[in-house]
Amino acid sequence: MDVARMNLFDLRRVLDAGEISAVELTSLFLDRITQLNPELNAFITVTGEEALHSAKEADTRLASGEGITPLTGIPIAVKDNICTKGVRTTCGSKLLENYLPVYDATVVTKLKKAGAVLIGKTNLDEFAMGSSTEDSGYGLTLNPWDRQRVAGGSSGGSAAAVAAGMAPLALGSDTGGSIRQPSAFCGILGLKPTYGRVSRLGLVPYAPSLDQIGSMARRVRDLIILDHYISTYDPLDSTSLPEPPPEIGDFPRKLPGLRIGLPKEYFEEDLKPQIKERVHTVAQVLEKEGCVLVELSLPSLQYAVATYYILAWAEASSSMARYDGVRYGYRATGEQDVLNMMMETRKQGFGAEVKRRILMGTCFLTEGYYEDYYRKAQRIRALIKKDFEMAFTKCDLLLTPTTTVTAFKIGENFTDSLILTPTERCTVAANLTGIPGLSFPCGLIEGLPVGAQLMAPAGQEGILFQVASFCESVGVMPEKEAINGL
Amino acid sequence: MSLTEQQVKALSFQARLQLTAEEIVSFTAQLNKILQYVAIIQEVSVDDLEPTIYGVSLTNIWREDRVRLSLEREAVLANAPEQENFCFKVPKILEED
Amino acid sequence: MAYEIVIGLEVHVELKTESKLCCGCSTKFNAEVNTLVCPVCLGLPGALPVLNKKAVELSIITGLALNCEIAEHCQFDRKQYFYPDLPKGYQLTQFYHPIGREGWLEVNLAGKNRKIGIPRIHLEEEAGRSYHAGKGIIDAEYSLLDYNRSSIPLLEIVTAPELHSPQEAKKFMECLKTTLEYIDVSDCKMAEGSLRCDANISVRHRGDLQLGKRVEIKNMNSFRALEAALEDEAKRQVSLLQQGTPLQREESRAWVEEKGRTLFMRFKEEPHEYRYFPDPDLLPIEIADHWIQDLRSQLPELPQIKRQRYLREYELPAYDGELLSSSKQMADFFELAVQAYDGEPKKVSNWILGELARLINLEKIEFGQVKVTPGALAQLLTLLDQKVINGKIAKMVFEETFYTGKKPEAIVAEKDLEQVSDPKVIKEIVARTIAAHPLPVRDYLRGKKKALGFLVGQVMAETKGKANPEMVRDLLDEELSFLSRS
Ligand SMILES: [Mg+2]
Ligand SMILES: [Zn+2]
Repeated sequence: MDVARMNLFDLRRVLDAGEISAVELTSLFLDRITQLNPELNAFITVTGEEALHSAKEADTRLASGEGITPLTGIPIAVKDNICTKGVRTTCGSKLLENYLPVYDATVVTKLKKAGAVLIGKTNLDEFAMGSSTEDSGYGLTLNPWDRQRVAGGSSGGSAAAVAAGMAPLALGSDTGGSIRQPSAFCGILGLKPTYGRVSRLGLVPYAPSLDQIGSMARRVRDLIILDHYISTYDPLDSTSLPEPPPEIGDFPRKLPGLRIGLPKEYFEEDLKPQIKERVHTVAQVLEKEGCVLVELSLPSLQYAVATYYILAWAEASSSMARYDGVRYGYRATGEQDVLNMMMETRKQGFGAEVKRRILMGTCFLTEGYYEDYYRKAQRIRALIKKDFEMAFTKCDLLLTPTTTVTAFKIGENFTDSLILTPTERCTVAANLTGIPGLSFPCGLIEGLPVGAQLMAPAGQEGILFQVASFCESVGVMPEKEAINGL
Repeated sequence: MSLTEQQVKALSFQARLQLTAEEIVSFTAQLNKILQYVAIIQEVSVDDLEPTIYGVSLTNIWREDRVRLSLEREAVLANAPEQENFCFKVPKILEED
Repeated sequence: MAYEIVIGLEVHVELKTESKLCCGCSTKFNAEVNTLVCPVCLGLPGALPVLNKKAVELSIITGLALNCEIAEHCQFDRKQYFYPDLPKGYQLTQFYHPIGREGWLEVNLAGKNRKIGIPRIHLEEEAGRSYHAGKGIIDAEYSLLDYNRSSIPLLEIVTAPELHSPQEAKKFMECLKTTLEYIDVSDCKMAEGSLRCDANISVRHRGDLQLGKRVEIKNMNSFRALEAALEDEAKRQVSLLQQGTPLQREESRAWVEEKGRTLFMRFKEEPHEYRYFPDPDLLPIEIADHWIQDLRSQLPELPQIKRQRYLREYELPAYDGELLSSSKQMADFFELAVQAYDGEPKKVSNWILGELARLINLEKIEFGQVKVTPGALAQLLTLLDQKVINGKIAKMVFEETFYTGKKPEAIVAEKDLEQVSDPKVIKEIVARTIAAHPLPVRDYLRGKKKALGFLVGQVMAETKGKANPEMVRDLLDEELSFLSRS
């Protein structure tokens, strides 16, 4: 049985029909990981034993017929900055090489309850700070479509795992585009949900006012189901939204008459012309279906990346302060006093990109910079929010490219942040404004996937699912998947 | 605005990052490039807008004053680099704050 | 030349909540190390704080009792510094928007009521504890950390530099403690660290406009230590001024109890760069007017008000009023006893501040542990007024009530202590006494009036102290003058 190519619906069918057991299914995925991971390096930790154990439990459930959910017995890969009790959670950092969380992230608890099988922890840029998964303490992840290229990041491991059929579903995290960009680079779907819709408890923070856990999959329906099972009000996360997420398949609107905004700033400057063409094709398909295309402008977008850098890195400098070698994680040995122990621990434990962001973020919060950079960036964040609210009076959702380029070559953008990556330009606004953003594949350019991004007002993931679902049904997604070549 | 090597050194101490002399030189150059890039925000006037600090606009999120079970002490100390008498052990503390 | 001492205090009060500020761990004192700790107060990656509403409420109550303006809007900021007892690398505190501002506390200083300014009070987290292996922090070989105290709610109360002697500082602290105990927001135990205070002190020539360089004193564990440390430091600074070598740099000094001296710790560096910024994990607090009104209506009568009322309503001397109101329990006791008693309130006060206070001191117990009820004291005073017992017996009865909790009436009945006031009975004893003691009688008749005392004592002894002493004196006098005439 070629489980790697199967979507969730098909996996469900064979499991429920007893054509395969959850243990067998899990073993098949583990085999595929054994076969592909040594080269692609999508996983930092493969949890074979634990996975088989929960698969066995899933089989018991399936046999009893009780408590079965769409995820029972389904393997899921989890980004390695999401805490898993007793399973090491490295955040892609050498500093946490042996760190064993004593509690599960809320999303992990939810997935376990649903009977899902956690198959492994996926690679990422150290502490999710990066956009290529080249900045990992555990080696870089290759793009399954072209091994000369990066998988994107920081959720590159999850994207590559799903694209290569090592797991049907994965969790990522997105602070400035870290789910959507690698999803686009790897030709899969990725959702950055509304801020507060998915509990952040157990997500190791990078920039807490922007971070959000989200789902990654190869089919829209699969994405919707995973999103449904991780979306929840969590009283242990103060920023969790109290409203329950909508039911699966509860699409609020009809396509005809839906106003789709095309903000011109997303189609300017350095956007690769073929990407523009692909996204316009999507727009035309939707127009044919009765949607209304609305040209509009989001003038504040030009400040979005700078605003994101300032806010994310300022918060990051604080998020990283707890790694001092006192309570957990790596500790430099041989130091005579605690101050030197901390300085040496952080020097040896963090990679260059993390250090750079800590230094820059520390600077933004010092006197003399605080007002002119940090506070000012927060005001611009308000301005961008206002611009988006204005845009959503003119349209129901926005359609843009996810990235301005397709997956770049390894080392090409590994620039010590000196050439500021263009890849965040299209994605950061959703984080700054807290709205949901969904990236879906909309074709290939020179054999590499292109991602289109949909954004809707906060809480309206439903519209995104509906539109993506339609696009999938009429075949705008790439005809050739990465897994076919593997 | 731009940073001197001296300032970067001071920042690195505040962030408790030990840097080599070469690192200070290279980070200073990199940080100044970033500062130059983000300076773009200075061209827009937003003084009339309230800063957006949070990811959501909820207020008064709290819990009642109820005791919940703490972790088992084994779990508390499970990842301790060094421990003694059920405490985390660290090299001597020189500064007092 | 005259000198002026200027003192400002920084007080930290642990609030009386069951659970910590940001997590559900217990705030219990003296538990075994690291047993009241969870992912949140240990600062584990991915853990998130959830605010304890009670801590906010107790802060508002304190603010109201200290005549503060309560903030309509407040939020938590991160105060960032590295120290091994600070698990997140930052302390949650209220830097930009303290919960209370511009308050004051009225203190009776040198017979004058003065309002000492309280510019701000703010809510923050307690840190963990470090233990230093070795003789002291200086020569410790290593340190041990316990996080049981980490994240206990702490209220910081800052005074204006308006105290002008060590005695005033001590008096202020006593008064503050009384107020905090009245409103029941803290245990206020200096020995256990639930009430702590650092002092800033400077000295200048009287009439100088500019303040001298100030010194911060830490490590004072009692009011007595506070006074002694300030005395020592004031003396040192005055003598520096006299020698014409005033302080050049601000410094921190520690009070060393055994030596009775403050010792130099370090010079104050440039104001520490704490890089405060709003915590994105805890959402802001909006304090509605009706909430404030509701809490205000629950405030008890505060000691300063009570004291004034006692003078007015019960015509007590200022001394009594101040002592009685200095403890809420004592004041409540006083008022209940006055209610139950028909006589003068001053008599009630005399007994509380006299006999009751004496026995409490003798037994080294707290007022709250006293077995005497206000009703019992009222009963005793009534027995006295009605001359059922005399003053001497009353003290004896009171002592028994104090130790056993028995009602005075019961004790009097049981032990047959009723005053003997029957003239016939006393006359008989008087006659016997005169007959039995010819020598003192002769002395008396020869003009040695002192001999009467001896004879009275003899009659009292014969009645086991129960005779009405005035009647004894009258009858003896009558009998003896008869003898002298005959
Ligand atoms: Mg403080
Ligand atoms: Zn706790």
